[in-house]
Amino acid sequence: MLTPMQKDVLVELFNIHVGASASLLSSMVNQKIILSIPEIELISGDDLNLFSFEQAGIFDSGEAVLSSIKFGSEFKGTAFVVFPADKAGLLVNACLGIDSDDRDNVKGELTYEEIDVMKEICNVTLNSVIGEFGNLLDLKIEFMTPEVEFSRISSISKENIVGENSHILVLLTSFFLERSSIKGIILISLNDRSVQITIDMINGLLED
Amino acid sequence: MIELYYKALRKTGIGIIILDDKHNIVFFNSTIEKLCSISERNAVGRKIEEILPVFSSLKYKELIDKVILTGQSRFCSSALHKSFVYSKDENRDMRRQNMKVEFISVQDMPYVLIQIMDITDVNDNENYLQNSINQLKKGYEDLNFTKLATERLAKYDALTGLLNRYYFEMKFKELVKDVNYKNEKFGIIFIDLDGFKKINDDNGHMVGDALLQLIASKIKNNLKKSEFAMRIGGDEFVIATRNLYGDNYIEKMAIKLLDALRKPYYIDNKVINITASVGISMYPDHAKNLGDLIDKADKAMYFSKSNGKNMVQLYSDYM
Repeated sequence: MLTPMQKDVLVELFNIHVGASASLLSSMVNQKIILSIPEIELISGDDLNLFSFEQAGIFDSGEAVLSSIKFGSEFKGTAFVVFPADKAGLLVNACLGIDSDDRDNVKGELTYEEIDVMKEICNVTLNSVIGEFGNLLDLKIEFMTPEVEFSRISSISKENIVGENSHILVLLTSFFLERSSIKGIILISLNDRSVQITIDMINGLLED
Repeated sequence: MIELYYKALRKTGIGIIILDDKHNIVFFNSTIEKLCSISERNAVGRKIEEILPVFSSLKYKELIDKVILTGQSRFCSSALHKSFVYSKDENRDMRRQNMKVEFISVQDMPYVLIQIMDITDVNDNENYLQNSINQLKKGYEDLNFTKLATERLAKYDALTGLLNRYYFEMKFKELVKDVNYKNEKFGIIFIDLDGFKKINDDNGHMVGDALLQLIASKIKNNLKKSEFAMRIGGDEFVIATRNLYGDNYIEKMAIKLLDALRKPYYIDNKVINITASVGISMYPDHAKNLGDLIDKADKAMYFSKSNGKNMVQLYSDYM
């Protein structure tokens, strides 16, 4: 649904902004974290297929950590960030300064404390992504703090992600840590009006 | 109603602070009062940085400013930030608090809502539980290890790792059944080390034990899968070996083993040389039970020892 040029513009804009959030995470944890969004796609809600992410090897274990926030008002939607559960532990370890080899279990069984760390990571990440929309659209976007849940990819309902909206902006995301990288997905569920605002904004930038 | 909301907010168990866009405290509930030992009356109208020192750091000033500017909410986890509200004589690191910072607007006036969730006790309990779980896990591992070690001791000689008498007898019974079924023979090889006592006396027990271990290792390395060995006495070993390759196989095997045992051993910067006297008895030719077979192999070994040592002798009735 996006032309290659439109995708390139979005990728570049998001990478500038998420770079800032990666710096924020890095300063919080005294460790270099690089966040990259190499690919963006806009699809209709009907075409969303979470199973394809599992097949693409992003969610080898089939278990995922899912965090979401709703945002509104003029530019409205819900943003989700989804990580493989087995890798979430590595990300938490990196933030806590724990050597991953010390971790008994990296399969996604996080303690309450570690869930809070994931919440903060997802909060910072989604803030930067949605914040970028706000900057580009010159709009103040209100949103809540995210919640975190664990699910099997196969049991995450498409309806819960798409909701009443019509389209999904899919952002493939990578966190680069000192010794590993972790892939995740950001899904931004948008209604028709929000999609139109987005496309108009991109086209405006391209004309400039 | 407003009075009701005010009283409810004052009493709620979550710490609540409301700031204006200049970071001045507008509201402060009783939970925050208890945590920092400062009353709301002394806090309202003053900057949060003056009342709660943590917020004077650039990181949190910028966080609050960003919330005001963008309308974004921020969640700060106790694991990464430790705590935000504590009294002057308290160590910040002893508390654990999560914080939510959100933008609210009332009649177009911007405010910041800060919620502090003190989870120090929950964290302590979780750490205590986690430690208990870790201790249980360790205990289970130790128990498992002890169980495996006990099982091992029940079957194997602690020093050499060869079978002990009990396990050797079990395997002997299985061997007898098998060879009877296949109408085969097998041999019992009895090995007695020559001059081991002198080596032990001259070099000490540690060297003696090390030598026994190395000899046991050589014996194991020279056995086929179906063959097995035990240490029957201080420096005596018994091997059960199947006679699969003709009448002289076992004698040839014993000679080859003796050659291997004769090679020098390097222990504790010393070179130790040792030989062995070896006797062989055959099932069912010489006897049919283990005790008699060992007895006859022992007699053959004694014949070797009496006739120059360092040799292999098959049992014969004249011994």
